[in-house]
Amino acid sequence: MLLSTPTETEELAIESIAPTAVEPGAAFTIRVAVVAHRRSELLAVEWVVPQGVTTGGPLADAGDGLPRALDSGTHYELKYAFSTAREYETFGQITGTLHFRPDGDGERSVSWSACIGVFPRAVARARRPLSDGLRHRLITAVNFDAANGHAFLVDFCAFFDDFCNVEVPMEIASKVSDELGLADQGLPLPAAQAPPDEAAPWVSDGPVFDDLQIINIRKQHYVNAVLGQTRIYGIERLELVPEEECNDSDGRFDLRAASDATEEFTEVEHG
Amino acid sequence: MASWGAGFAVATELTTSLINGVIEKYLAPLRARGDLTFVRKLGWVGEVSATLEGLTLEDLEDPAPVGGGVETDLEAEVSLDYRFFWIIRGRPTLTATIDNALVDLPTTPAGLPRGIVLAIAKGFAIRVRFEDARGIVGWLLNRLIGPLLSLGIWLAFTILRRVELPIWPLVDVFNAVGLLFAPGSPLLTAQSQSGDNSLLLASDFNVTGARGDASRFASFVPAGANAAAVVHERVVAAAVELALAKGWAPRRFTADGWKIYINDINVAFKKDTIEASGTVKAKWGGCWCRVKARITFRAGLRPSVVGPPGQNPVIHFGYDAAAETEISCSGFLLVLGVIMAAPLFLALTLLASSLVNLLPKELIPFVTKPRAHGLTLTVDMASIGFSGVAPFRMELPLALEGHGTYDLSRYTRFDLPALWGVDPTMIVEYTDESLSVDEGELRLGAKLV
Repeated sequence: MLLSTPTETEELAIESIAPTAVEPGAAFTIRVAVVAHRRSELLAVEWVVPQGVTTGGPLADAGDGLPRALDSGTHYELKYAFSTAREYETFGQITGTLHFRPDGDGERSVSWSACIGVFPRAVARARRPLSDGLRHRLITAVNFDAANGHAFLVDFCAFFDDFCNVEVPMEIASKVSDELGLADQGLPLPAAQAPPDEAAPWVSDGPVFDDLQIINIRKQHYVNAVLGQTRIYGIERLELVPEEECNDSDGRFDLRAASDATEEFTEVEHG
Repeated sequence: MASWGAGFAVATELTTSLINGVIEKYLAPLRARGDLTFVRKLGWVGEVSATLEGLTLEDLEDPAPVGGGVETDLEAEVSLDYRFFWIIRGRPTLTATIDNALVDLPTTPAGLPRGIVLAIAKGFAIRVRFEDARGIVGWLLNRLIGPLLSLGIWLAFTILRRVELPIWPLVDVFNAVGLLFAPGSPLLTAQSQSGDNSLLLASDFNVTGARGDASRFASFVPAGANAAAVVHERVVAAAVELALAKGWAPRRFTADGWKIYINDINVAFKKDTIEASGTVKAKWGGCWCRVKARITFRAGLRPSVVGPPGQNPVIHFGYDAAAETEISCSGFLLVLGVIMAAPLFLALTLLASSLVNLLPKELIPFVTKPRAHGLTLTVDMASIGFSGVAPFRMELPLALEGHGTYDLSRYTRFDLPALWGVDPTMIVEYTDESLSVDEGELRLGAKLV
């Protein structure tokens, strides 16, 4: 996925567009579009990249480069080239910092970040549990920051695809979504699913969306979650732990109790 | 903002107007059937009758050291009807006062509070003198009627002495959930700084840490109410821990595809919000991914009382989600509902029972039974040992826009202890200002009539 990360200050609006996952050894570009709210001189862009990713500098077709004066209301676009090491898998954050000088003021800077996974493309097998290697990718990506945990819950499949470079078979996507209870997250229920008015009068107050609109809204929720702008209510942070290490990570968690022996649990009945 | 409960874990306040109302509940039937009218026939001299019209607490004070005992001034209103020699007739109304009667907190043999009564010394005697009455009328008033009045007032105070005021034995609620009073608790005091003069019963518990300061008490009864109770968040947090430890609330449960184990949970009261936070371990169904999740959670419910007087009052609550930035995951909202049930139930039940103790002892130990239907999670807290005790029920929303309910109808009327064939009923009225949450404290006020 190409992810657009918006950043705004009083002087500038910046939109950075970068891929969320690439193959090891592949080159990629990040576009940075800048709109001036106030006349400013753009001085330089600095990048901080994860190990295994190299900054190649601005691309020649991206205009005259920096520094460059930008009048209020005008925009300028930059492109930067990056490369990745072959046979080196990594997950991390690329942080860009634009140094600029507003008209009549001293130098300032503004930063933005976006996650990127450098992993070979893989297709997960539906009939076998997730392999150790792909699971490691997932845990690394989800635990990287709080926003990723929310994005994972909002759209499990998209997160796997976008950040771990793993295609998830449809049957698994459907099964996991059911288990997580993701069918109607934060979305108005279609009329057919709505219970009688007296049971939940608030349901009938909102608009009712068709399937395509729901898909689009869900996609928007996912993108917002990736950007840290939308959260799953009630969850401050979600971190994944390999199943077999669960006891080590927290001595109070009884692995046997969390196995499939559901009779040991108090079960929420469904009426 | 000053603390309602002056730092105590639990505090209950009764205003003098409520106390006088309770006294009148006993006196009115006795008066109606003539039990408070004392008649003496004096042969050819005439006839006298005296009726005790009312007994009133004038004020309440807790002289230093605070917590050492509450004093009150009592007033008895008596109407007289005398006829001497069939020509001299009078119907005066008299007021007799007894100063500095003690308000006492009698306890069970185990030292637990039983109720609040007025303690009048055994040697108490009241003398009535008609200073301005002269001659034969003065002699008759002072020698015949005075002692009669004294007897009547003495009887009235004896009645009063046995009227237990409706601060209920807290042991029923707190002892049952395993909270034991700290040394010096409960403490009886009074305040006359703000609002009506009032009695206050304040307690700390063995596991709830900090101690309150009775000298900081001001009235915390909300407008339109004559009684109120406050619980501190640390009581509810301790009760939730106990409920989880004893299995009354589930520490591990399944909800949809989620298998949950609660590692730790804390309860906090914030402005308008009852909040629970902590961590859980989660596993999803067969979990193809071979991972478990450690989730740090936080959820807040905003409670309020709805339902006008005369209708069944209900506490409504909804999640404190930010509509612009927070969405729900229906599976986790179900998990959250089960987690939130214990803090919410214990907070509201301990609070309501501090004001109107109708929590049956037989409810504890209880088991939590969650059941989802549509967009509602119904949670029954059902007695384990007594099938005859109706479960306490809460409903939690399974949509961020929805609201849950806790029915207060159990707490709308109760009977006072029977005394001389009088068993008055108190009606409890709530308003939309009855329930309030502020930093660290949850308060319920009501009008008891």
